[in-house]
Amino acid sequence: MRISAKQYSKALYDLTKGKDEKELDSIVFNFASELRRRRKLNLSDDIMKIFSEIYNKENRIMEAEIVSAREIGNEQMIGIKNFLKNKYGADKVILDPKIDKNIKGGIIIRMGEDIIDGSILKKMKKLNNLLKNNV
Amino acid sequence: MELLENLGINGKILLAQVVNFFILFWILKKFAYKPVLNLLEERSKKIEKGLKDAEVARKKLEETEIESKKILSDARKHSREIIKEAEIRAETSKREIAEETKHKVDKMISDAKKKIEEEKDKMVVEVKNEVADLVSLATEKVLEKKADSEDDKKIIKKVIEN
Repeated sequence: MRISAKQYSKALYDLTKGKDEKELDSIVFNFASELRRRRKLNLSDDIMKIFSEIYNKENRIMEAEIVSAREIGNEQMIGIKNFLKNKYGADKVILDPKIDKNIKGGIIIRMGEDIIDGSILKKMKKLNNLLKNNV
Repeated sequence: MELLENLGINGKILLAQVVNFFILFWILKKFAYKPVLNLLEERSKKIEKGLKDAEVARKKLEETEIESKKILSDARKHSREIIKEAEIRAETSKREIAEETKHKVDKMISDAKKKIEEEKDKMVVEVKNEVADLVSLATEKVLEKKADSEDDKKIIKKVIEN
């Protein structure tokens, strides 16, 4: 029977759930050995990605990519975290800040497939469309 | 006999003349009258035949004349019909050509109007797009020069507070 990356991820999560750090090392080592034995190490990237998603979901942890034109200060980062906690009911929010001058200003928040686009670039595009279609 | 002699007629001579007459008559009949009669008869037949032929020819001529008149009349009638038909056809064709031409002209006008309308719409869209792009570009330039961290903060605040 062929086992998918998702099934491996789910198994890894079940094995590691509620375990302390010492036990985790041993479990992960054994799991990696098993993958090597089964010649499935090529799935490790996918497994880790899905594992991370499962872990975050189970522990109400949220990862979000934050794109801005300029660096965002700590105070505002906390504001963003709180905003996301409230919006998605997460206990913990992990932010991955990125700078992209092309967005001109504002912010884009990406959580998986969910996107909040509050960038100036988007507003300009909207304005452009509005002018093209309604003037 | 005596009487004949008294009248100066010699019986022998008379007899001889009678005989001569019959001989002459026979010779003439044999060598002259018959060929002449045959010739005459033949001639007469020829004339008669000629007359008959002439009559036949006359009749034939009359028939031919009648026939040719009939043919001529038929031909005239037929030609009149042909002309009439051609006139009708020409009239129909003329009308059809006129209608077709009118239709073509109408279509050309309609197409031209449509094309002008399309061009106009296209131009309007192009102008709108150009204006929109210019406005966007101008906005972008202004933002690049004017927007700072404080503006950015305000914008982000607005996003997370809404």
